Amino acid sequence: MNFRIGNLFRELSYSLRRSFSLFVGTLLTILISMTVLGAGLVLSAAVETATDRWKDGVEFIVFLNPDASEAEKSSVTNKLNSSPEIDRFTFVDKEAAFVEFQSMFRDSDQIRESVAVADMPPSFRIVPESPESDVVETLADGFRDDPGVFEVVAAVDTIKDIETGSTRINRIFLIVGMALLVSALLLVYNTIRTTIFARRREVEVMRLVGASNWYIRVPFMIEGTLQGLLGGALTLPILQLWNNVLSDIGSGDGLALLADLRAPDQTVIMIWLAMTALGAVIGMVASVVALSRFLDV
Amino acid sequence: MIKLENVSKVYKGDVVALRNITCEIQKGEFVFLVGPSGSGKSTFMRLLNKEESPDNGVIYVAGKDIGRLSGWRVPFLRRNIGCIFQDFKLLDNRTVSQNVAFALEVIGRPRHVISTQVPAILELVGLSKKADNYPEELSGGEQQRVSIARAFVNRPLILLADEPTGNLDPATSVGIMKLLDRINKTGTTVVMATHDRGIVDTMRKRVIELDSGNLARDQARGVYE
Ligand SMILES: Nc1ncnc2c1ncn2[C@@H]1O[C@H](COP(=O)(O)OP(=O)(O)OP(=O)(O)O)[C@@H](O)[C@H]1O
Ligand SMILES: [Mg+2]
Repeated sequence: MNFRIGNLFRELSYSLRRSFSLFVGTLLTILISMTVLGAGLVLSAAVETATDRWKDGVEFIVFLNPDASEAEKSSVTNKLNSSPEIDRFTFVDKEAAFVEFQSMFRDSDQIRESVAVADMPPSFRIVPESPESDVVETLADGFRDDPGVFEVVAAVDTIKDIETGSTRINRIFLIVGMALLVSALLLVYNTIRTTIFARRREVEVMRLVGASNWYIRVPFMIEGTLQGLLGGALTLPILQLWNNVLSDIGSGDGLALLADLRAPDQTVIMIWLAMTALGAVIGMVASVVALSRFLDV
Repeated sequence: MIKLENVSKVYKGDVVALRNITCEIQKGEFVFLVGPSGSGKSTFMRLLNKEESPDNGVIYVAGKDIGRLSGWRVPFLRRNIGCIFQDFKLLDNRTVSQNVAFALEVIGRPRHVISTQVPAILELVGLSKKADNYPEELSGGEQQRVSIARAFVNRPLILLADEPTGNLDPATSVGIMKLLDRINKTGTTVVMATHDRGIVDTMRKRVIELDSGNLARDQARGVYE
């Protein structure tokens, strides 16, 4: 296929100038739908980070003093082992706690640098037989006054509320995002149809003089793909802003219940890349469908 | 150069546009296609560059059975066939030379080829002075010359002209016919559909007459009727 980039650019800028408002409208719709979808993903990543300690059925945590002795630690261990109401538990030592802390606050250097391994409280993550909140409360209270215990935190209803609430919000984001996605798809399809119509004379002449099918198709496909790609790519600042907003809403208390309600920066980037790719795919699919319907070469 | 064997074309709705046509056109011939409106002249032409496919029969162009041509090869067939029309089909947002260059650009001809071929062909059709004008600034005859330049710039083997003088006055038509005759003299096969009795009768070329899709007459050095 003989193809010159210069020609391609000229064709593209022709069609851009001809239907600028349509192009912008389509771009915005893609941007909005990608933003809604991406925001939902960022939210669930943020909730996951914030509630990281509470996964796999952990219902309460016994923090030891950073300087608790071996004897104090093994007395708590024995008590846990002997209690029939405790299903299982794991011990998180200073180093592991430090690593966890660093990852929970990976986006704020200030907080991370303010602590050392020695400052971290080791802890027991405990899964009781029953997740009923009064049972958990009673069990947790039983450890509060033991020697060497610094603090006992139970996965009170707040955490569960946050988890179910965010699942619900997420579902709404997903449904709205999907609906917007479909309208974005239809808009790209219509933009390409309009472009094909506006350029039908050129297309007719190209066919008559023997331009290859791909030569005729590619500019349309690029236009559609570009709209999707740009729409997806422009979500980055919005997703970052959204992550900051979340983080303002749910500032964590560091040690106990919640870490910062904030998705890690790399996760936001991954989500952004996924949205950009999805946008490009949608633009391409819509233009290919439009071409197959309205351009008989 | 062109050979039709028992070719029939039926459009949907049972419109028989061509019925069992057999004929052969040699390289370098000049052929008029005549016949009343709706007799199948345009259909005949559209079959040759595979814009339409016959329902029956075989068509050879330059020795190849074009019915067996796969889709991606059709553009290469069309590069050997120039087409001109009654309505010129020029692009009004491009100048004369851009219109002609377009035909070469879209088949991937290199820039240096385009920059020598375009002025040469505009010289041939006598439009060098109008190279930078837009189609709307030209007379009908001049516009048809541009479309001839565009059809011929790639030196096709065959030139199909569907009523090229249909929109032109007699004097201008004579100019266009002289140009087509010159192109034919370079060895290009020319097939021209027309209703213009005067032109057919003065040129005295081969005449193929269609009537309701039937081949009614095939006459060397013929006249309109
Ligand atoms: N795309 C089409 N679909 C259906 N019928 C068609 C189509 N094109 C042409 N026809 C019919 O086929 C017949 C032949 O048409 P064609 O255009 O070949 O005639 P023609 O000789 O070129 O006429 P004219 O001198 O008016 O240009 C006509 O009856 C016409 O109505
Ligand atoms: Mg016709």
